[in-house]
Amino acid sequence: MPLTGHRDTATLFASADKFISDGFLVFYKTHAVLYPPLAYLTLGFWQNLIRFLLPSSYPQWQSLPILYQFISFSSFRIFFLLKLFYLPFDIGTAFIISKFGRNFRESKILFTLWIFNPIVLYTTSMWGSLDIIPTFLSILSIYLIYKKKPVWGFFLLGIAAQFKLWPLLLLPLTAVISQKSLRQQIKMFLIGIIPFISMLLPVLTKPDYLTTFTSSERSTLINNASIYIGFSQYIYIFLLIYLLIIFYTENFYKGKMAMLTAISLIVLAIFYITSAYTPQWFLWILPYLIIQTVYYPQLFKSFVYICISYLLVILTYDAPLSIGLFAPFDPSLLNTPILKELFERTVVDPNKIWSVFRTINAATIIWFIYHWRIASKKS
Amino acid sequence: MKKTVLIILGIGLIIYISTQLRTNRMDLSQEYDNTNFDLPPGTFLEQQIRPRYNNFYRIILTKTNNPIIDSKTMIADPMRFEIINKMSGKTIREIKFSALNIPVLEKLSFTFDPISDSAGKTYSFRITSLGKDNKNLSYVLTFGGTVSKIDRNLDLRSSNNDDIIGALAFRSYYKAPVSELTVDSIQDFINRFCQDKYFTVIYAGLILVLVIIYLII
Repeated sequence: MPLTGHRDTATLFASADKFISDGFLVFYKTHAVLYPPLAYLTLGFWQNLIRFLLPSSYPQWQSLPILYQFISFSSFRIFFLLKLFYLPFDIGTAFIISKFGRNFRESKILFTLWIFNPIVLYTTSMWGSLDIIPTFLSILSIYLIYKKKPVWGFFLLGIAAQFKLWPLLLLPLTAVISQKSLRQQIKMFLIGIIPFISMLLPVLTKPDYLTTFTSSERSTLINNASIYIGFSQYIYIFLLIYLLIIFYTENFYKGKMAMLTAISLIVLAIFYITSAYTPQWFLWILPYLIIQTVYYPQLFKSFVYICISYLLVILTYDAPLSIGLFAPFDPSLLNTPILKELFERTVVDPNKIWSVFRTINAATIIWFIYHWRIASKKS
Repeated sequence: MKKTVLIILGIGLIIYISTQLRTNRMDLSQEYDNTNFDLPPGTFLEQQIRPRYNNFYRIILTKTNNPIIDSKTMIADPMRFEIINKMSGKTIREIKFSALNIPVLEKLSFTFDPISDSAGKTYSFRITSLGKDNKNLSYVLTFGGTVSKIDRNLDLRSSNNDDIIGALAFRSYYKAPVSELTVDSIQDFINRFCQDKYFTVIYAGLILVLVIIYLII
């Protein structure tokens, strides 16, 4: 963990520091903010908790140019301590996933497949991405709903959306699958959405936050795959398929708790197929991919295909997301050219190459879903 | 088994390609960039530098303005980049270029024949605008840097302004075989890692405990 790092970790924790010192209303007014308040609050709390372990030069370190942060001998201790916060969520996710095993052997495989998964190690231990927190909370909420504790489950799903918004995608579907009557479905949906909105309410009144959030390229990714239907109007492919999944679930899977993880898998898979997701986002789907792979061992080959094509997606990004993550080890690696830079020097429009990589990744995800469908029908 | 071998070979190939592309390593850098230094025609900017390694062979100026991005009339003045040995005062490397060559990515890179005995010696790199002084010129090349002195070895001189204090934003590189670069990387890492003694001891202890637990299980 201390040998790798990414500037996002440093800037995110620096923002969390500002959040605590400025107060959240001032913070949301004066900074370009992307995450909901609970994300900053949690990271700020952790930072204050470990303050006595951080070097005394930490405030100065935060304001250094990124390369100097990596060159500094304090970077090892700082990156290690900051990323240590994610470790309980990482182990917690492995533990919860193992609970989905139908016997001891399956539980053991599920635990191992998560703990030693290269994608988890890459996004959480090496990169230090925040995504492990909503991933943990969402799989925990699915588990609680599965174990007939829906109130806690839906509440946690709302809390998960306070870190990143994607768990909201699972909220209506989970309500439809887990509850038989429409009244109960609405009730559970509200249990999930009310804590989310109430915690977000103070900052929703800040126009700066809304402008930053709605104009962010990442926020609008979900709309990018679309079909033009004239008069400047579009059919959004993700939304179209998402609604169809809800209708299908409402008709055929209502009350079928065994489908909870499978439907979550399909919804997130459609998201990855229709958007140029950033590499750390892939963590969201991983628990569901691993669970289905262990349920149907014949899917293992397709799972490996997804992991390999994911590597191609990483290569569409600059060096700091691949070999540049080792910059604390050797700061010179931060801007070392790898395949992306090579392509950009030799290919006129490298975006075409990146599009091919994305298409390969989408194909492997579709193949996995198709394979899963056949395997689940047979069983 | 066959699949595992294929996966390992695939990952190995990517690592191999990545390392083989790397025949150089960063030596020095000045990353602060809070002011701009102008380079009007007929003037020069000269930055002192003392490489730590032999085979000093590249300078990248990390922040320049860009006529294309700024939508200004481009100047095609001839420019000269020189590496000067401060001891002898002689120019030992020279590159001529046009302001038109300044790349779109806002980084200006100068690669020259490696200076084999550069370690510990004082050099300067000088960028001269060879155009005639034109008072009506609407566009002047500027280079990012800082006015606060960071290192006494990084003095900046400008023929345009005698009072200038500061340093350009730049990175310098040296060239070496992969094996040598790897040894340098590891040595540099060990030096930096061991400076934080408490952390080094605790982290090494933690790794040791984990290895023992793994062996017992």
